[in-house]
Amino acid sequence: MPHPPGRPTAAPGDLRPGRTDLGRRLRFAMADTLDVPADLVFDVPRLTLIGSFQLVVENHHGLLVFEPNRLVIGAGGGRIVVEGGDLGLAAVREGEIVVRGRITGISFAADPPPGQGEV
Amino acid sequence: MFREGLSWWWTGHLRLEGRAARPAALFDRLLADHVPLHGGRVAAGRVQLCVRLADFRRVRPAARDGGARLHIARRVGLPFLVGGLRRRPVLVLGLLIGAGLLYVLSGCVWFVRIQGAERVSAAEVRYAAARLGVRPGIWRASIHPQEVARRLPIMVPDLAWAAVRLQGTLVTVQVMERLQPAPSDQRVAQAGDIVAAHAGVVSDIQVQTGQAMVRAGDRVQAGQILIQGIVPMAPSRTGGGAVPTPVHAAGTVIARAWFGAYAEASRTISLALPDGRTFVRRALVIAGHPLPLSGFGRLPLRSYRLERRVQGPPTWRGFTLPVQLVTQRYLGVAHVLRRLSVAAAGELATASARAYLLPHLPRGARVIAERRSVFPLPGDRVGVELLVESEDNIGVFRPFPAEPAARAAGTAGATGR
Repeated sequence: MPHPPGRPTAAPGDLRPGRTDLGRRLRFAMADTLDVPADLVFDVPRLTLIGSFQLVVENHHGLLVFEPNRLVIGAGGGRIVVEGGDLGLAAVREGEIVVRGRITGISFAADPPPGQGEV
Repeated sequence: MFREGLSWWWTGHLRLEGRAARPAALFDRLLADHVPLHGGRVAAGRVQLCVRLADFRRVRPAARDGGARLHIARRVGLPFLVGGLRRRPVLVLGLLIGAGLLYVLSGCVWFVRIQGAERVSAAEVRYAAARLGVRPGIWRASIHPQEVARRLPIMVPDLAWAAVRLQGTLVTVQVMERLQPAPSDQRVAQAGDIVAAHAGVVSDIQVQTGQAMVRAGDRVQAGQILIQGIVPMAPSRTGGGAVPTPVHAAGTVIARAWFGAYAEASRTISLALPDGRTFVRRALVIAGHPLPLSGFGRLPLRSYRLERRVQGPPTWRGFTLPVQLVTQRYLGVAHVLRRLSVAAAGELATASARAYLLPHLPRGARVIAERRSVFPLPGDRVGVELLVESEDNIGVFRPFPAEPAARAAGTAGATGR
């Protein structure tokens, strides 16, 4: 995602405080001081990868793409792209998706600009 | 995962399959509607997923969003099982009757095992146990093991102790018989000598009670007194001389003895060698009655070696089905005449002589040396003379005759010489 020149910003999912995002900086400082897990303070997903066959995504924002070799899951501040083969939803519970299959890659992508469609 | 699977089975779930134009939209809507699901898969425009029975109607909006046409591929879980059983009342009745029978039958005693009865007959113990209520076919709950164990030795006087153990449908009655004095213990009180059981040369003598009459190196004959059962006691308080007193002589007298045997063997022997032909007969034996299965025609072999194998079903709680499969394998043999050397025929004759001689050695004898001489005989035969040197305890107890006093007096005189 291109950024306006000269405007420092965090990468998608990056919790480091930017120079201009005061609210974000405050929340980061609070989480750091109170020793609270960051995923509770920020609206970001928590990913638990078990080997290369199971991925648990908590605090997601829905399923955007579902193909046998690619899954895109919406998350706060971006999208989680899971690549592999024979991917499937082993279980879907309250606020949690369990992806199972042959996982070869996980990446975090920024949200596309409005009107540009899916990833 | 197991608990979750059990929960899904308990509430029942449906496996839905079908085509979907926008699979991601279908699953996204299900996520948004908080519909739990598992087994979600997409392949070549087809989707499949499992939802709880209660959430089936909530799938419809998601299917509409995803442009999907789904159908129920499989119904899994307890509600469907119960529904299926409702349509089969006879099956349910059969299951209930079966379970009830199993419960009732497992509450009874079906086998009674008696352990430890050697001199007392097991049938006697079994009869007494049956009178105390331990017999096949009664309720387990009606048996009071401690009471039966207490009363069993009273009913069978030869028992010293009994224990009753319940294990499923098996009752084990463990008994301990009363000890009776052994014949040797009864004899301890008797006075007598240790005499030679057979001839030999004494190699060692150890006296426990009595007086040694021989020493190592002495040649003794069968019946000769080795340890005398008369000992001169210390001077009595009356001040007289040594009093010859009869005792039960005891001790060990090791002696060497030689035993010989003669055997012959022919130098021409007939060997039965397998010729490769095999014939198999099989029969099923049901309660002792044979039922021919195969191979019961005319036996095509004139000479054969027979191997018999009996196979039965496994034993369960001491009970075996009275069915056995008996397989008889006839291995054809051809007889071949072969001429042996003198040495080889001598080995055969030696083995024959040894097989005759060893069982005739005194009980407990140990062979310490063996010597043989092999010589050819007319008629293509070989003779062997085998001489075995053995060592054993030749002392046996011989009680004094009825008039011990007279003997004691006579022997005392001999001792005093």
